[in-house]
Amino acid sequence: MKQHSFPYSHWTKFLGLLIMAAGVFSFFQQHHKKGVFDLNELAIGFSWGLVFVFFSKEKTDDEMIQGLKFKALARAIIVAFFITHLYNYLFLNWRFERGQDTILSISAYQFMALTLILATGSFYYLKHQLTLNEEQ
Amino acid sequence: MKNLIKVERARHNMTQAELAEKVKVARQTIIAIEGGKFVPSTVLAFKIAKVLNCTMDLLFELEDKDWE
Repeated sequence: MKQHSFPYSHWTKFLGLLIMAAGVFSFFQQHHKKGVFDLNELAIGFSWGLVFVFFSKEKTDDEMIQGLKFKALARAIIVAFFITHLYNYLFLNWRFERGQDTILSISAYQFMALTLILATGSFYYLKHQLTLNEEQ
Repeated sequence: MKNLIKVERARHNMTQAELAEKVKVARQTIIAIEGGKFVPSTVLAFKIAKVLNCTMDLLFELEDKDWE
């Protein structure tokens, strides 16, 4: 009764890290060329990279790891959605007038990157918490 | 849920890593189960009981808070 919840092999974590590094490189290259900090450039690299990091199998992928990942992802989506909504309201739509303006929002890449950063951080934190005070 | 995995494991002179390898989970999972922080699935609980050569009801025991 082996269940495979995560589609990517363990080695794709390294691919994810490479994509993130490429995103950071591209972000600074854009700044060097055009003099602007394009957060979308960074978010594209982070969102694609973290998809491979978070949704790949761990060294030993068992039911506890799968449960923790689900818990981390569920929490991250709620928190990221709340942060996104708050940011949109406070910084992008503060003077929004119904009927005249269109609602502005951060990009899908930025939302995805934020969600996956929170999910990955939360997963490793939960894993660490469960194995605190370990004894051999 | 209370469990006696640590006791039975010690009785069999087995390390957490050895038990983890036999039931095909991470060592962290055995640590979490022994510490009562993670309740295993029925399949995993049966596997652990089989490796430790004892019955499920000897290994696992419900606590009052499990009924709440």
